[in-house]
Formats: sequence, structure tokens, C-alpha cells
Amino acid sequence: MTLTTDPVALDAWYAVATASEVTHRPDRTRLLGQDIAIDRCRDTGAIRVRPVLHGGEYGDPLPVIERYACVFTTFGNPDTPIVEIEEAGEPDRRVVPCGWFTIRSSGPRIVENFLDMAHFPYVHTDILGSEPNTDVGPYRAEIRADVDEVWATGCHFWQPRGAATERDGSGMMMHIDYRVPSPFIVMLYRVAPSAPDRRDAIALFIQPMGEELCRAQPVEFLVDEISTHTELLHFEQVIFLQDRLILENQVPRRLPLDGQAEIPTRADTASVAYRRWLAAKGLGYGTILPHGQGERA
Amino acid sequence: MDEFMTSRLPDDGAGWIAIGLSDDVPAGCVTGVVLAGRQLALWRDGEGAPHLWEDRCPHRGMRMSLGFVRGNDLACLYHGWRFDGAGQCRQIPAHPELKVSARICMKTFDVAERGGMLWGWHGRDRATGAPEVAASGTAVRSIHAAVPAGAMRVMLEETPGEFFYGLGQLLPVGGHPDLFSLTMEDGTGELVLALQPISSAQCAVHAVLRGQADAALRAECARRMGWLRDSAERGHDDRQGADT
Repeated sequence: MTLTTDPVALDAWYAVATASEVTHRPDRTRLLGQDIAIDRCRDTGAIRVRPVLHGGEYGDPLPVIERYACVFTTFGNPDTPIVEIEEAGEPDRRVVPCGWFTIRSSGPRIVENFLDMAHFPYVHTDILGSEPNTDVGPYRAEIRADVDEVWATGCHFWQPRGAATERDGSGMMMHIDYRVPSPFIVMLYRVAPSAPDRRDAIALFIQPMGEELCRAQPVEFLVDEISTHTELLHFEQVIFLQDRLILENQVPRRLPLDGQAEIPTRADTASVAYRRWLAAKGLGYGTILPHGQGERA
Repeated sequence: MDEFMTSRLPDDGAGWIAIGLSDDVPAGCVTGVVLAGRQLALWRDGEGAPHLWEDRCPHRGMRMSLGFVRGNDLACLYHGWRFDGAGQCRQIPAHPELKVSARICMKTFDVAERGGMLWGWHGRDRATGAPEVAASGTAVRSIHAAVPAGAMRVMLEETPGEFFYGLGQLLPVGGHPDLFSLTMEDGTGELVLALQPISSAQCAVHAVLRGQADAALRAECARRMGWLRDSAERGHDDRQGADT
């Protein structure tokens, strides 16, 4: 495996580790096809991310930013900073990294799955949805040119147990906004069930190891004084393992960006906007570009 | 498509290929099969009729072989889209009131049930005729072996006595390279084998009994099928080893 030449993929920030888990012992992983090692310098204590070259020696350190409980790096020159999540700065927020999942699928398929409400009753049965409450009502999806992000707002879906705090399963209409600030980062905002005047934020940071193999970590920014840490982890673990079953069985694994390749409905408005946004960027990594667009490495 | 698939059948490669034993796909169940190098979903509706479809939902590419049967429809596991027996999408749960467009449909393949086995049609045009086996058959066993169909065919043609001694003589069925038949020495029954190419490294053999098919004979034939698989894989490994 070698580093991709896709410029869109190169010029982005990626979470590649949980900051609290980095030790003096280098931890090997892979980003965009390139093996990397992550460790903490014995002298300075600073976190380093270095490419592992042929023969095992390390290349020059890559940029490192510690944020949102994660270690971010890049191979390129991102023209935008790491996503700004305002909620993360609020003093009473719980920032909960929920652990890494390895998924044999492309990053864009994972993003699209996160943006999708229609699968809740079938994949997250009796948790995020249940029959007969399968309706996806109208919502608005847009590419915000000023910030170069995709947003889906006014989303709402009936959820039997939409959050770890909702123990009795009596259900509620969950109001959600989705945000895609970067091709491999996806977020949602929802009314905090235990503090209805505020919103929880959940980010999914995707580390594309290859075009069809990723690690991903959900990080939650919660107003939740009730759930234990373990309960929060268990909740997210169940959800993402359910999604993994789907993601690893989609054909093809890479996301087709040609509008004719797969048939959307109105519920897929967010997915359609995301695909258009990626096609306009010309992202070829983890996608299948429309015929005649882009050259594959 | 793998080259081995296109060369094996007479008449521009079209024909019926055994894809499983009837008993292995009960009503209301779905499974994944390979027909001539292509991944397909094989399922039976609530009334027991078999269907063979492309293993991919047209909505978001999810494998239909992981779907679920409701009544006479197959639903996709991802979003619950329901497709009727003809492959036409009838319901999109995210929009229950929506009249579904006729263009949302599955690619379907011809499937037949005969002789205790399920058969898929491999060919550009629609199926002609029925699989050339007798109508009845009692399931014995399917084996999956990590050898190409060609190697299995050679074993069945050249050394069947290694596996079926004492039962009778296994012979190719004329005109069909993937069918073999063994008439029991006492004349009470017949063992029928159908070979299914899966990939350039894998095949399956489906076995049924005609006529006498008591539990003891079925068990004995099933045991012999296990020998066939083990021997094919061992022999193939040995040959591969000798090559390197």
C-alpha cells in the first residue's frame, strides 16, 4: 500500500488516535494507504505522527493537532482548519470518545450511513426507530458554499430510545441537524433528552486506512448528567456494530457519485447533497467518480 | 466473468446450473449463491416459490441475501424496501404513501426446481426447457470444496471408485458436463450429483437420491460426499505443492 495521490483526500485533517491512549511505544496504523506510527516523544511529551517508510525507518513528522480527545494529522495542506465544534468548549460538556471501529467499507459510505434516518427502524430496531413509525418527513439539505459544508436541517424521526438516557423506551420525536464539515467527518446535533433547552453534538471521525477499509470513532459532546461512561460506550457500540453489518455488505464498497448509479428517494436528500458535494470537489478516494470525471491513481 | 465459466457449457454457454438443494432454502428464507461468477440472492416466498435475483438493492447497494421475507415479498435489510416476486418494488417505508416508480425493480434470473435441487439459468436469453434430471429427488448433501470445478469433474470422471466403491458405478450423464449418476448395485435407487462451479478456486457438488432413499443409505452417501470433498482438496493441495 502506498499513499494516495488524490489531492482532495490529501488536503484534509484526519483523526488517527485517541490522545489519551498515545504512549512512548509507537502505535502503527495506516492513513490513506500510508503506514504511520504515533507515539509520545520521551523528551518533550509531545505527540508525534510519522510515516513508516520502506525498511521500517520513520519519515519526517507530520503536522499534529490534539483536539476533541483525538490526534489529528494531515499529509497535505488543508485550506480549512479542523472542524470547529462550539459545544466542545462549554465547561459542563462531557466529551466522550466512544472507541474505534474498524469497518471494511469506504469512508463516504460510512458518512452516508450516518446521515441516513430511513434505516433506523430496520438496522437499529427498537433503539433509533421501529415499525410502523418509518416515515421520514421533509427536511432541508444544502451545500453551504460560504463554509464549504453540507447541512441537513429540520430532520425529525420518531425514536423509541434515541439516547442512552432514554431507558424506558417509551419513545420521542427526535429533532436532528446533520453536518458534514469535511468529506470524512460527519456530525449530528440533537436536542439533549435530559436538558431540552440544549443540544448534544456527536461527531464521527473517520480514518480512511485504504479506499475500502476505515477506522472510525464517534466522539460525543453531551449534556448528560445521568448516564455512566460505560452506558454511553455500550449505547454507541451497539449502534455502530449494527451499522457495520450494513456497511460491509454494500456493493460496491466505494460510494458511486454518478447520479444514475443508485436510486434515491426524498429521504435521501442529505445523501444526494453529500454525493454532489464530493463530485464537485472531485474526491476520487473511496468513491466512484462519474464517468469522465477525474483520473484514478 | 472468469474464463472457466464461459467455456464449460455447450451452445454459447447457456444452461441450467445447480445452485443448491431444495431442502436447504425453506419457505420465507433467503441466502446468497453464485451463478456463473455472479453473486445472487436465492429466496423462497411465503408460499414456497423460489426466486433468484441480483444480490444488490438498487437503492443503496445492500446485499439482498441479508434481507428478510415478508409474505411473498423480499425486503432489504437496510431500509426495508419491499420487492414482490416479480422483482418490482412495492413499498418504500420512509414514504409509506408514495406510489413506487415502476423503474425501481430487481434484475431477476430464471430459477427452476427439479429433482430435489434448485437450478439457475445461465445465459443471455431467458431459460428454455427444464433441467435435464428426473423430477423427484431426496436431498443427501451439498459439499463445498476449495478446488475449481474442472478439477472436481476430472476426479468424478476418472476415479469415482475411490469414493463410491461398494455402491455402484458413477457415470457422467450424456450431454451435460456437470451431471453424474450412480445406479445402486442392487438396482433400488440412483445417486445423482450436480456440479456447481463457483469461482476459479471453489466449487460445490449437490447430491440427491432417487428411488430408495432410507436414512441408512442417505447417511452412507453423505459420508461418501465428505470423502469426495476431503480427497479433492487434499489432492489439489498435493498437486499445487508439487508445482511450486
